[in-house]
Amino acid sequence: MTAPEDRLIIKLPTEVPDMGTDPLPIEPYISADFFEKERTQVFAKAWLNVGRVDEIPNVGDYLVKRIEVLNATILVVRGKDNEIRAFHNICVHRGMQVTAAGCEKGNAQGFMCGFHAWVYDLEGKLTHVPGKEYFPDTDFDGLQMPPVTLEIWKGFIFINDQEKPKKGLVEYLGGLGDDLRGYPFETFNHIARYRANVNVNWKTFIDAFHEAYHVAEVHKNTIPDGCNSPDNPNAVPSSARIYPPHHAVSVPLNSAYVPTPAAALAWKFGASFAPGDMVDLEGLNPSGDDNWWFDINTLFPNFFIDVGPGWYFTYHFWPVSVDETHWEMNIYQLEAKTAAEKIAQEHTKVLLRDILYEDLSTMEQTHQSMKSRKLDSMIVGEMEIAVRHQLYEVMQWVDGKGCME
Amino acid sequence: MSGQLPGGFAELEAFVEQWDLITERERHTTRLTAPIEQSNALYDALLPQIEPIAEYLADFDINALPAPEQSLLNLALSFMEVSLTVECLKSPTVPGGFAFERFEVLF
Ligand code: FES
Ligand SMILES: [Fe+2]
Repeated sequence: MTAPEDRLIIKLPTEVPDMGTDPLPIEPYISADFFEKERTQVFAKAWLNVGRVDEIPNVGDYLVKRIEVLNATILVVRGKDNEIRAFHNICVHRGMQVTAAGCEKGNAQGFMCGFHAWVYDLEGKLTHVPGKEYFPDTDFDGLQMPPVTLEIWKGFIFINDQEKPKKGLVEYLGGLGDDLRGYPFETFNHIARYRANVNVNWKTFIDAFHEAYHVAEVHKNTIPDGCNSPDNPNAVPSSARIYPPHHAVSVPLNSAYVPTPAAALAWKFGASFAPGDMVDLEGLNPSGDDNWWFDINTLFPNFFIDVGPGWYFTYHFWPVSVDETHWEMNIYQLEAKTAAEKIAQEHTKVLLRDILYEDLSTMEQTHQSMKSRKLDSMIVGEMEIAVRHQLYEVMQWVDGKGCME
Repeated sequence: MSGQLPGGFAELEAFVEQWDLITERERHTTRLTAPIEQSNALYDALLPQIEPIAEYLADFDINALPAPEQSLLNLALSFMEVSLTVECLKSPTVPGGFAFERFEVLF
């Protein structure tokens, strides 16, 4: 056993809040009451990502986002003036949604409610009411779908349930936004999207994605030696940056990793998720670590942007209830201009996807165990600093001490 | 769907019917549901051909490939699809992984 004084030190270049070292209480991960507080204290106050501008490039393009935790369905629309706006997808007549059931995106000149055919323009304004003369006492002037606060950072569209959020988006993202500012997100192409509904609390789900301690075991069939090396057998992160309420963790690279034949071809042709030659892009590896693989960036409360050399990917963890989470992953890569690059991209996609099957495999059993209430706390080590910080922030927000109060 | 392959790659013709698939979802579904021997066979036949394929296709605009060239690229993408199965997993599905029926591949 390694003596405590011989253990690898995780670089912590930012100030770390006093989070203690105690085991973490399990109740917040299984309590329906706690979930109700998260709904109003966390999700109703935080900036939440709902997509990217590239998904709606043209006038009239729109996205429909169901956000269960806010009991809201949001319509994000690119208007005639090219501005992107968001509305609650609610007809002001009797409340029907103005897009068809199940519609997730489309292009329109405006929106017609499918109940009594009231019509709205791309700016959300009510423009036509059939049989208007039968509403003699109604003042239709200025009626519109309820607006939603929206801001865009680096092409990422965020909404906020508050009319006047305490902090604007850039201030909210703080140091994490600063670290990522130079990354050329706008030059990437969207190459894959995966989804799953998992019977697990959203925080338990998230916690499997901001530590590398699990890699050797959970990923034993796909990439067991990606970050576990002889000199770092537990994949201790090389650095972690805490920018409350967000954080980032840099995953180490096993420099002795031997690529499979397919991974080697991918690296010959372009960039792969498998460890290989590192392409230098601005915004990567902010702590200047040796043996660096990629950065996990957790944007509080439920959005990840993991950035690497030639690819980045995002996760959304949308709580449905205390026991259920809707997960989505999107992968982006630099545009493939040749067949070779396209073949290389496929390797990244396939490898990441198969890795995700492994990540998702622990969730439901963990959640079931937690719900048995046979443990009232869980043990969290130094390598799991992000797990500790995530709960720390959620508790702060639930107690009315979050940064958006 | 299946077109003939460009001359020079005729020995891969036998894989066209099963693996000439345009979307990741189709390629993945095929890998998950085909016996592993079929993934192994595709892998073994394609591995030495991937570099010649990339070289041959370098002269084409990948966004406007003629049908035979598109089929050839699709086979190369299917090679990547099965590479994990053959090189690492030794199984069509991810051993111990989340149920594939519940994992949605959208593209
Ligand atoms: S509810 Fe929309 S037109 Fe009546
Ligand atoms: Fe993982």
